[in-house]
Amino acid sequence: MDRALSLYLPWWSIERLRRGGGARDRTGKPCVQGRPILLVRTIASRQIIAHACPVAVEAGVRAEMTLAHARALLPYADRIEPKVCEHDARRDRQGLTALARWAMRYVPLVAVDGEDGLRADITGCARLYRGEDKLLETVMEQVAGLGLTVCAAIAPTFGAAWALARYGDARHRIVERRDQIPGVLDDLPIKGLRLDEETIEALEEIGIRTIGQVLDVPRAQLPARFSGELLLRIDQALGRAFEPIEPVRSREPVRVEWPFKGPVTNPEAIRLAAEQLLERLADQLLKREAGVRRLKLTLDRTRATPVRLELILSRASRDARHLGRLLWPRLEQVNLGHGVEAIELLAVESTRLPHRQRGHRSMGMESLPEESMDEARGRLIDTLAHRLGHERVLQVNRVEAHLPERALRYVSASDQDSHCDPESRAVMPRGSRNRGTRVRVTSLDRPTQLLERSEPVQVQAMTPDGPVMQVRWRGGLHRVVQCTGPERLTSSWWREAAGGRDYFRVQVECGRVLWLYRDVRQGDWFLHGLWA
Amino acid sequence: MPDMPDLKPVPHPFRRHLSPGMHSACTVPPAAYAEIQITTNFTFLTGASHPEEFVDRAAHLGYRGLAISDTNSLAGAVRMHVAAKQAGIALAVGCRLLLHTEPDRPLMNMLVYPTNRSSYGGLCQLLTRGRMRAEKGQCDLEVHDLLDYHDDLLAAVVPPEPQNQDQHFLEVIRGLAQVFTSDRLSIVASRGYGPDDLERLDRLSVLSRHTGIPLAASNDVHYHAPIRKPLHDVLACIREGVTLDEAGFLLTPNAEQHLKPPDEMHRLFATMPESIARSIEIVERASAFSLDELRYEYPHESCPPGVSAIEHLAALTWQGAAKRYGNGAGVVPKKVKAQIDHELKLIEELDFPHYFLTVHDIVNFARSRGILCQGRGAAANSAVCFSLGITEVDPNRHQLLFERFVSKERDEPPDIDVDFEHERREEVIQYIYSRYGRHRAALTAEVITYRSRSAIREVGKALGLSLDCVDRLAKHHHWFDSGGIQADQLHQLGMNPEDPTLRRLCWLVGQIKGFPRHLSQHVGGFVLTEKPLSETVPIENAAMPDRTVIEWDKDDIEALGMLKVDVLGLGMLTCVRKCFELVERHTGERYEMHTVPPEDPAVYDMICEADTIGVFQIESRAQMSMLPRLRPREFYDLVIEVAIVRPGPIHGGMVHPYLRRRNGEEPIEYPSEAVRDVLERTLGVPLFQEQAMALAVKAAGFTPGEADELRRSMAAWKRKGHLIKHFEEKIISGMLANGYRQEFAERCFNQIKGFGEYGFPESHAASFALIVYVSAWLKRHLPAAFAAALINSQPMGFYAPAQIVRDAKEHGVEVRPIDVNYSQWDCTLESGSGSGDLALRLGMRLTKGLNAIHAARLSEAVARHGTYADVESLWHDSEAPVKTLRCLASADAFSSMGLDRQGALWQIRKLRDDPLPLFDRVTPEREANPRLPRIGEAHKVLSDYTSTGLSLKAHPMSFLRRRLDELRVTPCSVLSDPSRCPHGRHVAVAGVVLVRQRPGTAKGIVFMTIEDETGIANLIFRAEVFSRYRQAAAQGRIVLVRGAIERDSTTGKVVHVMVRHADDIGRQDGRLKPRQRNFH
Repeated sequence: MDRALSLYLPWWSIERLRRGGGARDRTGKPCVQGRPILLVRTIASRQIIAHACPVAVEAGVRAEMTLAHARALLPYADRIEPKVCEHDARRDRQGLTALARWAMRYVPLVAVDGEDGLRADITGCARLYRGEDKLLETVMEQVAGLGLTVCAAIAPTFGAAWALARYGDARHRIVERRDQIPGVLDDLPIKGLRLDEETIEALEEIGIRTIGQVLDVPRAQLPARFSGELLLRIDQALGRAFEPIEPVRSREPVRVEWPFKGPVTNPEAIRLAAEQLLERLADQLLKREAGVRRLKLTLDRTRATPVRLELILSRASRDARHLGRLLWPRLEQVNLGHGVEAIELLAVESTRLPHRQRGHRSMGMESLPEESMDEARGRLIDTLAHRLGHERVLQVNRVEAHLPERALRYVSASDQDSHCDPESRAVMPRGSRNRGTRVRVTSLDRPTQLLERSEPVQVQAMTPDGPVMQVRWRGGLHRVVQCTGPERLTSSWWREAAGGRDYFRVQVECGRVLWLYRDVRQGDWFLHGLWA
Repeated sequence: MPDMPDLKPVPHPFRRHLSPGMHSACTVPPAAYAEIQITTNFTFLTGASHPEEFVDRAAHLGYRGLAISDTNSLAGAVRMHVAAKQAGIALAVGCRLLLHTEPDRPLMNMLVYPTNRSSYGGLCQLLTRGRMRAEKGQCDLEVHDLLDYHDDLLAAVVPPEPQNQDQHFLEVIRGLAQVFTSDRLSIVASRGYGPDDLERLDRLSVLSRHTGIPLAASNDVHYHAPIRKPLHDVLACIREGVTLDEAGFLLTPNAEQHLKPPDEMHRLFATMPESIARSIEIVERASAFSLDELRYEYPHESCPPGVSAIEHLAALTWQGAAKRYGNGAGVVPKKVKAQIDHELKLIEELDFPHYFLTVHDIVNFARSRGILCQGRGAAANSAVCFSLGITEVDPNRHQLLFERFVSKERDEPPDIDVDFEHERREEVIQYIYSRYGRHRAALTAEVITYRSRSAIREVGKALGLSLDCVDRLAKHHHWFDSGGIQADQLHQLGMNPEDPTLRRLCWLVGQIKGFPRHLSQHVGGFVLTEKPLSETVPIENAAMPDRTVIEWDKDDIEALGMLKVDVLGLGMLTCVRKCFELVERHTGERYEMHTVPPEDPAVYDMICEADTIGVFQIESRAQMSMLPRLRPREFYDLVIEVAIVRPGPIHGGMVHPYLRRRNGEEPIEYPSEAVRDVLERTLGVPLFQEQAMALAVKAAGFTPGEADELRRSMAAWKRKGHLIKHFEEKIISGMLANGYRQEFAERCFNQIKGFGEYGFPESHAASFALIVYVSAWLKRHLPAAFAAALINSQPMGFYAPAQIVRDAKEHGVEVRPIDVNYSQWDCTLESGSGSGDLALRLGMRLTKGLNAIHAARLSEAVARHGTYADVESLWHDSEAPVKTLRCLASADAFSSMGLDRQGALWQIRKLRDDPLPLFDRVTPEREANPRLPRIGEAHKVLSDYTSTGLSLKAHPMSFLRRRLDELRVTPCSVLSDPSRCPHGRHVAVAGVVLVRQRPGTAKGIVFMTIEDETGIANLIFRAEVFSRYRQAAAQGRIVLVRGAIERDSTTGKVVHVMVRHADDIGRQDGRLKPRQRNFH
């Protein structure tokens, strides 16, 4: 390897968010441009700055500061609140890998370099661009076109290119020969040698600040004093030691295609082809132990824009029949126009779905259940959701709350995160401190049917919170046989105005059991539920 | 037992529809009720009202009585007891026990109430047993434990949830019924407005009939009024670490757990009136025991058998007096003799000899170990204490009268606090434990309460505010801002003061402030008893190993008339002892506290110049600015100096009148002869706590008992704000009635109020003044030794080593740098260049990151071998780790080997702690010194600061001087020149911030001391300036300020700059981190 390119993205973490790569603040809203961005990581209830945007850095914000300190440094004058997001190192890295794949279109061997850079082996590439300066220019322009700030350098070694890209002079970005390296690195800070913090500190303690000063020290005196890393890094920078590159490789999503030999207008033929494709897709997914979460079907039409259908599944699946059942109703409605020339299926999003052993009837063993309840439920939800719309298929989750109307929450059934068991969502008190004060309300205390809106009723009672004698409800007068209560529930004072209700379980003559309450403030009575 | 009202109260069916006014007009026959189940906020993070609030509310509602039942604790009992006594309401002291029955079963929840002293002792022992078994703050008890201590205890079982009322529960209940015979057991019935209250009550009645155990009505009270329900919810959230939205069923469904009016309770228990009668009966039977019955007995071991305590005390006193006063001849002067006779008689009459003997015993131990100590407090300034060696203040010499401090009429317990060297106090504490045993000696507790900051943090989290928001609120609400959250502050933080959540936060923070959070140990308040202490109060393990703490704090102890000895740590005593030792080692002269030459004019000259850096007490800014005005010339002046710069006299406006009278600018007059007696020695201006009390008696006509009550309630002034009005009226009207002027009366009252927060009695001031004098004498005559001792006793005092060293240099002491060949761990003295001069050699202890044991190896090696010429041989001989050498190299401590910091570090980098055996002792060939980069002077100084916090080479500000000159910044030293910097001139000064101080008395004014290479400047920030330049003023390390010079008109010596503008110029260089200290 003779020629190395190093790309440095000084604001990668920030700019990745700015580009809309999934920046979300704590309330789930996307980050707004034009406001200072602070990325924090939380260590034991202390929030520490991980990265800050250029505006904030200008104001003196540095990594490792506490968030409160950083805020104090930002100018308050224009009352612009900084955007504070959790720093997601994993996604930074994923994004960098994706960027490396993207860069493969310019140079073949690209690797992720640390947290904020790429490196490439460009030996022999220069000819394609008519010179290294042109190559450098092209790559930088293209990367900048993505909305990223970039510095880059080319040198005979990765080490030298790395140092130059980060600390070098902007006008002098290309080193031709190895023997030029020491001269070029001379005035750069020792950080440019890619050393660990401890070595940097040790060198600075002795007053060594530049690479030139390190190189001035007799080499023989170094090994006894510093870790082997220092010599290795010097050698790598100067080209005395070889440095390998582990380029990224691309991994394509599963994709199957069915070209027709001419425009096809027969829906049956299209469906048959699609069935075949689904089988093949399922096969490939099986090999990868994957299941599809988002599936895209594209129909290439003659002289018309392609039709795209997208399936979103509540659970990963590679069951061709299930996918087919979801697809057919939608396929039937497609306007085929002058005919379809090709069908393509693309597993846009897939997740791991391991193999599972199935029972075998012929061996005389009791078969394992073909599918778990969960799978069947998922299939039902998918089927319903694709016919009715995702926002229309809801499920009820139980919530710990005293007021009955707050004790339930509707969530979209397709959203997989909402499928977890309601019991496990409850916050469990810390063991040792639990005095057993957790209030217990058994399901017998609550009616089987809760009215969406409570209905006003007229009630005759001895005392305000005493037993109920008679109820007038929907015009009918009911004499009360048995009455239990009151159970007093007050509203959540931190959410709404204070108020309370006295609930009574009342059995009327005809045998019905009603759940009545009296608004403690107003004194009005309502029916809130019924027992079947 | 009282008669039950035969009338079953039937409330009016439409009463709730009537207006409140009409409601109160309804005449409901008085019903009797007593609550047996009250959880106060001493069941931490559970109860939501103070004990006093329950008592007030119960008294207001006309309760027959009430009981305190905190969980496994009696911590709130004394407060409740005091409040109940005042309100005249019956109190049953009890607690809730949570007992293990069998594994995997819910804890048995029962309430117990002692009915007499012995059963109370049993309960305390039971709780102690449970607490000693468990970690701090926890209690671990089983049902069997109860069997050992059940005599004369009343018990009430709180039944579990219906589904747990199974066979097992029945068995336990039956078992308990056999133990708690003679009608001592009950079952608690409550109506919490749950889904099936009446069914539950029915079940309980069946259970009661079945077992023959009566039911007792209760409302399971957790807060005194329903308005506290939100706070109750928030406490639950804090306890469980969740937000309100997450809390769900951790919160109670309604706000019913408060004290309800008796007729309401009768209505709720209309079906079972006998249960209400039972509750009243329980409280009545249990209130037969009162905490007033606790009698206190001193330990007796300090008195040998066969001799009465007073005889022994007298013998010891005369023996000591002969030594102290007899000058070897053993003849005590007549005057002293009479004084001692008088004091001994008083001590005998008041029955305190054991107390004095116990203190003497402790002090004696300290003396035997060479630990310096000094008693202070009301009883300490007596001829007896001086003779016994408890204090060094000779009352005879200093005109301090014992009677002033201990008197028959006042009948207050003697009070002696003993200060020990802070580094060796632990030895004393362990001695006390070993001598009196853990069952008889324990530290008093300190109740840690919520302050605004902790309250904002925890309440904010519970309300679901984001971590960062809570942090911002709490941080910006640091100690510079007192009081609650202000709207404009919120505005500054970019928050909306109208936001309902923030308003709720403010409201709740206001309520939770002052709530106890947990018990901690008091710094040194020891309670010692003759009988096992655990029969008087529950004892628990402290967080520190080998410590045990009682559940009550010092106010509780005092309220019960129990006595304690404060074993405190004092840094200056350590310093004085070290100084004596250094002097003795180098000059052979031997000093002790009382042999330091008294009343040396040179010392007072120095004090008058306010040249007091490092001197005990009078080194603070406020004290220093007072010194030239007060001009102390004798010991008693120091006593006044110590006491006058305190919130009490300042709030009371006593400082200026005193100064005017002292300078003869105002006639000294007394409103009456009685007042003259009290105030003569302070020129007619009350300055001491004792004087305020005496005034209350002599001028306002208080009885000694009332004055005593006044003193007690002063300590709790803030907590019991309502008492203030009562005393204010009483004092002022009393004084007016005795013919004093309104203005004088108000001034006296204000001072008494000020004492409430920071009482400072003359007796303490006198003891402190002696330490002031001794330390000032040392500073004046032995500056090198004094500076060395100060540094060796760090951390203590106001100033960092850098300032101490600078001050020493200014007093002509030669200061020599840390050097591996000459320095020891501590600073030492060397013979100086001049004859008889002593030079100060800085010790290795100043070096950051150094381990004392490893450093000692180096000085031992040097002691064996003599000075070393190269690093490697020193390293081999001493076997010190490389890290030690590296730290010292960073401190530039190898100069005597001809190595600067850089060279030494380069040499040391080569060394490895685990060398290969082959190469061991093989001296490698000398390698040529490499060409290392040159390092600038400024950088070297910064490195000095980084490593040792000071530099002998130069001051960091000197490197900025050229830039500062361009900005026309005045050097600090020029400020004191009246011709160049007259009063009112506008100047700019810059320097490193040394100290920030915000006295509570100064209306938000912040004092700051900065330093440059020429000297020190004192700055004053007014509150609004401070908040405008908060960043620089509160956090800056190097500041540049502009403002007007203020010069004291009388002396012209005290100069400060009234800041108008401030800038933080140190932000650019993060390496400079001089030690700075913030006080408030």
